[in-house]
Formats: sequence, C-alpha cells, structure tokens
Amino acid sequence: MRLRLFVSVIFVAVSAGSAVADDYTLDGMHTSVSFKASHLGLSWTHGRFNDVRGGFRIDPADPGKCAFSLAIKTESVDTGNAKRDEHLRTPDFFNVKQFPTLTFESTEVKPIKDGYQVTGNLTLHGVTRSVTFPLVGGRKAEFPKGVQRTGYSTELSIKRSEFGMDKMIGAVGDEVFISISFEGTKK
Amino acid sequence: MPDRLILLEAMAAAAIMAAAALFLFSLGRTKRPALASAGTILSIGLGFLAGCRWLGVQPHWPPREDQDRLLLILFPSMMLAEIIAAAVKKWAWLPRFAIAVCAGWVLLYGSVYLEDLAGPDSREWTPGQTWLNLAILTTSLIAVWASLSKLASGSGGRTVPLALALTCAGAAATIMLSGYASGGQLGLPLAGAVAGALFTSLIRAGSFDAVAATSLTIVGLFDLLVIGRFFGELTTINAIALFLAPLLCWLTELPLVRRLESRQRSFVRVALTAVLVVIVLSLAQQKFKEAAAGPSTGSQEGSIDDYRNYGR
Repeated sequence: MRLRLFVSVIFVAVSAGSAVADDYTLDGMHTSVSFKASHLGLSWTHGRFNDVRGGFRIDPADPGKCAFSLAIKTESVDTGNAKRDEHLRTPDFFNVKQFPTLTFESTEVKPIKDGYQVTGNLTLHGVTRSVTFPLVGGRKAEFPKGVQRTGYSTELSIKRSEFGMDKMIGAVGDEVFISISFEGTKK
Repeated sequence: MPDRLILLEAMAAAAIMAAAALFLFSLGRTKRPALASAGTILSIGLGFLAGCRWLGVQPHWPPREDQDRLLLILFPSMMLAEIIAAAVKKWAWLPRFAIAVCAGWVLLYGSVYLEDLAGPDSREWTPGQTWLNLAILTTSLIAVWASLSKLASGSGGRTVPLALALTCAGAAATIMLSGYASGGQLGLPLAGAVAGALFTSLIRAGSFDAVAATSLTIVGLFDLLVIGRFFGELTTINAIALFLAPLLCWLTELPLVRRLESRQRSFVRVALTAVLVVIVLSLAQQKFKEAAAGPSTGSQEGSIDDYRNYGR
C-alpha cells in the first residue's frame, strides 16, 4: 500500500513538473530593446531596435531548464534621426550588410529574487561573447481573454569594442547601456 | 580643421614613404624591368601601409568585414599577383585575371548578398543574380584594367596612374560623404602613395613601372567603390562614374587631340578625369548637405569626420 502511494506521489510530481514548463513567443508589440551611448561624453543618445523576435521557456519547477533567445535585425536601428541611422547601418558601426542580426541565446539560468540570473551568448558584429544579467519579472496575466502572457525586464552594459565594433570610439562611447523589456504569449 | 589635417597627413605620409622606398629601390637596381615593376609595387604598398597606419586603421584578424578582406587579403594578393605578372610577362594577365575574378566575391564574402544570414531565403541575391552580378563586376574590372594598362604602356605613361590617384582621392571623399568614413578614407593613402612614387619617377628615370602602378591602383579603386556601394551608401551612378572616370584619358588618342604635344595631352588626360571626379564629388557633397540640413533640430551636428577624429 505504502509503495503504491509512493509511486503515485512520484508520478504526480513528475507529471506536474513537466506540465509547468511553458513556452512563450515574444510579443513584438510589447517588447523593447533600447540602448544609450555617450555622445562626446556630454550627453546620451538613445536608440532602439524595431524588429525584435524570439521566444523563451519558463520552468518554475526546474529553473535550469528555462531558456531565452532573442534575434534582432540590426537594420531596424532607430535613433529618431534618419541620417544618423543610415550611418549606424554602415560598417562604421553595425555593418548591417555583413552582420544583419544581433542574437542572444541563454546557456544558463539560475533563480534569484524576483526573477532569474541569465548567462548566455551575445553575438554582435560577428563576435560572440558571454554576458550575464539579472532578469526581473515573471508576473502573469491573461490579456486579451484566452491569451496567457508573462514579461521580464533587464538592463546590462557592454563594451562595443569587445565585439569588434571599434570605430569612432571617443566621439561615440565604447560602453553601451542596453535596456530590454519583453512580453511573451504562451504557445 | 583637425579632421582634414589628419587625412592630409596620412596622404603625405603615404607619399613620402612611397617616394623614399622607390628611391631606395632605384639605387640598388640593375636595369631589369621586372625589378622596376617590383620596386613600384612594393613602394606603393609600403606607402599605402604607412598612410593607413597614420590613420589608425586596424583590420581585424581573422578578417570579418569588407575592410578586413580588402586590407588583409585583396591588397597583398594584388601586390603578389602584379609581382608575378612582372616576372612572367608573357602570362602577365593570368594572375591579374585571377584577382579580377576573386575581387568582387572576396569583398562580398559572408554578406547578406551571398548568404542567408538573417534566416532562410534572406539573401538579397538569388544564385542567378549572384553569378550575374559577380560576372558584371569581374568583366568591368578586367575591361577597365586592360584598357588603362594598354594606355599606360603606350602614350599614356605616368599620367594614367596619376589620373587614377586623383580618382582614388575623389572616390575616398565621395564614399566618406556617403556615410562610410572608415572605408572611404582608405582611398587617400592609396592616392598619396601613387603620387609619391610618381614624384620619385620624375627624378629617377626608369625606376617606375606605369603599368604595375596602374594595375595596383585600378584594383584599389574598384575595391573602394565596391565596399562603398555594397556596404555603405554610395550610389550606383556615382560608383560607376568614378570607376569609368580614368577612361577619359583615352580621349587624348582621338585623331584631333593626338596632334597636341605630349605634355599638353598629359595635361588633358588628367584634367578630363579631374572634371568628372569633381562633378561626382560636388553632387555627393550637395546631397550630403541636403541630408544634413533635414528637419531642423536646433542642432549644429558635426560631420562624420568630426566624429572619426574626435579626441585625436
């Protein structure tokens, strides 16, 4: 009897564990990848990418199985000034004809207070480097009715020269601050 | 204007290095033409290198971008090919043809034109378009190269590389005005190096091979225009006009003009090329100014050069 009960408990637990892993598709309407870089060390120029895609998997029972991926079209860079954006697309900066996408793939996810600590490979300008950042969020909502969604946000900084984007450093700061906020809809 | 000063300094550094190198090569040389060719190529190569160093150009290894491939693969290959061409005169066009076939492909390698980098079927050219476009690039390069080499080996002489150097400088400025500062600037040391070698050739007769200099410079010009057009914002019409500008040197071979004295014809060759280059440059500058004026933001924005040279 005890054995049957034990086996039943294990079965329920395993079933429950596999059931809570949810896959989400990034909701472009409610996703923002923005950045700011110093202009001459005097002020910050802000920009964003308008074409961001990706998805993520959340497994509260086993955070190690959580995964995040992001793909950004570098051509969609938008700083609110067409001439500057044209220049940003050339090999002086993003070189969009050579490196049309900027990607992130998580390799390790650990639980922290209010979210996760995510480590992964960021590929920018053809160079892949590991980055780690806290990802805060995870609240859930049903919006519109029948659509389950959740969202996360983070901020991180990178040195663009470490990714081979090393032109005009000085006038345009080497350190770039990135802010990412996204929602995903459950598949 | 520190930005323009640095560009001029880089040109001067390239010119001085090329002139000095050619002078030194000319001292220890026998009268073998192949050595004159090698001296010319190495002098221009050293001058170009010195100018690039002055500009702070640092290509990445392994080559990832168009500029890296131009500086680390194409330019050295071109120098080697031209030295081989000088050594095997009879088959000179074999290594040159190999360079012409590879140049476009090497520059565009790994780009969105040739590969599905942003997902399946994302490449900008279909396989058919790829072959066609690369064939057009190769044919154009071969045709202009052969034509100018023929002129340089005949009555054109030193004025052909001079016209090419002028075009390189004009292309550099046009590409920079088209938003690709780090790529465009490479044309200036090349122009300076050719000018420096030409200067030495005036005082050391027989030290200079006009065909070798023409070869190196036309491929350099082609490379600049390809990266400016396909990776920057250089317009197709400007790229074509600049590439064809040195062909105007051929107009001095027309019957009426041939009656002019040799010096007058030399002047006409360079002047004709300069006129077209100046027209293209003026149009590019006008477009740049219009774009810079744009909707008023109350900002007096610096030029790309201002950014490139900030803090230097």
